Amino acid sequence: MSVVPRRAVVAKVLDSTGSLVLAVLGVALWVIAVRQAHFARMGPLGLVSILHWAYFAGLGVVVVGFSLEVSRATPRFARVIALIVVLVLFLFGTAPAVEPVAALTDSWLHAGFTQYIVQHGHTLANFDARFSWPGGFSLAALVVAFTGQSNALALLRWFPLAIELIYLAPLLVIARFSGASVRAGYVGVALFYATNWIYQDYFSPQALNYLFFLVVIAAVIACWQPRAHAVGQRGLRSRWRSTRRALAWSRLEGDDTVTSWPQPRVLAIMVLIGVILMASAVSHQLTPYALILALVAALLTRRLARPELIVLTGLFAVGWLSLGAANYWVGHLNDIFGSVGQIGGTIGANVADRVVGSASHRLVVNVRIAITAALYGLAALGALRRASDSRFIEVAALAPFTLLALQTYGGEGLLRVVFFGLPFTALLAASALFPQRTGTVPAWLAHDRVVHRVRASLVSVVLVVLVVAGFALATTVVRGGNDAYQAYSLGDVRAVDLAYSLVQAGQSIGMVAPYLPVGQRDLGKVRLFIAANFGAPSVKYDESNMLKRRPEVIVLSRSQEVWGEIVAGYPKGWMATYRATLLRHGYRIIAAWPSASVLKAGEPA
Amino acid sequence: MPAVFGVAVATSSHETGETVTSVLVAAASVFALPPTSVAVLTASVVLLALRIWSHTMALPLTRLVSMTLDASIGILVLLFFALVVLRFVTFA
Repeated sequence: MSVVPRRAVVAKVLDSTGSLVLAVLGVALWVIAVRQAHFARMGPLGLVSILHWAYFAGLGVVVVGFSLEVSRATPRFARVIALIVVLVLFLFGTAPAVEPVAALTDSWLHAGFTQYIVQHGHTLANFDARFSWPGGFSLAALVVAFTGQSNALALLRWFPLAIELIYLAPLLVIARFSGASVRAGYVGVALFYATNWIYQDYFSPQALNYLFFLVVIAAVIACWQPRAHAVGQRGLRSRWRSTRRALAWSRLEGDDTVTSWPQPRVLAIMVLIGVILMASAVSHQLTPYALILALVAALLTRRLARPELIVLTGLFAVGWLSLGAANYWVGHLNDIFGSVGQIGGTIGANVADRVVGSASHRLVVNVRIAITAALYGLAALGALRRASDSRFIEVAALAPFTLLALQTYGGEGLLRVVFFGLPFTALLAASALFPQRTGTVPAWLAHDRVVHRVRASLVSVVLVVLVVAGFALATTVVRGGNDAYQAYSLGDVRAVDLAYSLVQAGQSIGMVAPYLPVGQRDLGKVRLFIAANFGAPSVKYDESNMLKRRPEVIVLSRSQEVWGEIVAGYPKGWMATYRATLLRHGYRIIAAWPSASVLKAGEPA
Repeated sequence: MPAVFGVAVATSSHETGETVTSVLVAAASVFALPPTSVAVLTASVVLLALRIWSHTMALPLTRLVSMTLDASIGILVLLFFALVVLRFVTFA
């Protein structure tokens, strides 16, 4: 009978249960953190200003558990997934758990679009550009009607967490078939979440369409693999020859790819992809074009057999724009094509114009830029270090930048470019830590000294902890960085409800800036008036503009006051002066809550 | 408005006896109307679906049939984009 040393027993127990215990401990700490956070005490830095130490301890515990699991000789799939799910809970579930109602005015407005379809069975023409791509709102209306709800408001609050968890399935498929190593795949998925500060997962068509984007790309790269050929040489001339083959005519004939799937399954997948492409074309302006670029990347790198899917996407997208969205472009064609080729102006509108406001706001914006720059730096290192059978993720990470040459997209084009490239950039960044070492396309840095060091288990654990925890902490700070004025209280909701009950069809509800839970009802009947001039904000202008227009009801709120102080540069306490001015000009306060007040127009004094 | 093309049709209506001109399409702008675009779009999508089906199921098409199919798709797609540009120019 052999005697097993106690140390070996402990190591075995730790190995078998350690990561699971850390995941459970992480959830327990998250619950404590949520219970200890007080929304009313939120400061200018947003969500992070009210987070308890348990949040950071729990996040650290989860990341350590994840690092230990992926550094094992064979990472256990179920454990890795469980730890990623807890990481997602920390990053995307904390705000909905802490904040009393859904954040972001746009999500409330989208609930209003949905409500209109529920009530009338069709969209409202010439109201808003988003209503020219109504697929997402129609689907939401279907869900509302099917579940017996009276409106979509119940969907708003937890939507970000739910949709991010749904993204996990296609992300895992992309990671598995991307050509990255198994560990790089898992770390890449974790990095996708840890660097996803781009708030595009609220109740919106773009959140749904991002799911379409991920599903289509996952299906395509899972279906087709590059046809095997001899291992390439590492010389520049050999690489140039391989690159030139990407543009050969034979690439269009489907001879450079193979699939191991049976023909009927491929056909069924193609039909499903066709349906998704059609749904995407009628529900979002930008996603179909991002899909075209990603599919072109797949075709060039032998991960898509033939170009028909690309042509089909283009036909659906342009077809809907031309025929279905005519309400949008008739009279506004310059909005679509006016910024073509103006890359400098687009980047200016997307980056430089956002670094404004108070020190706290500028800090948040600068950290966002730093996260993105660090991720792309790490991704560049990953691209140099990894070998593969195809350079799909490199090309797919860069392809969305083409969109910048076409559209500013309301100053959000660069955000969307980073967002559409994020699954691939994150996988490349993970490849800097765990590069795939074999493949017909050799690595640029095949024999770097770092390789051997990173292979040592302890070093890899520490590196993964540093990278994932660093990004996750920074994302915690910046993702909720606007919550000081974009997250709302119950008082705000009640104030807006009262305002709607006070106005009649054709009348207006006024506000200084659009930072209220507003737009969820009476679409097209009640007008919303915003007094601020965002190009050159000034309290005096806002006052005179409001008094000139004289909306029947005005809602003033703490969220608008904070926006003025930290983004627009208004003096502290400006809202009190503003309210006093309105009272002097015939408005009277109908009701007030700690965070909001409702004013009704009377006769001017 | 200039006629784009004319076809031979009856010169008078049998029912009313009114004179009927041979001009079927009176102006280029009629191509900017939705039915033309929808017809070309539908034809393109049907041919694309046929091409996807034939490639996926590895149907033994001759070289001539393949090239004809590809060329037809190419022409229809180009025609569709031309119609879209025409719509933009006409209505925007």
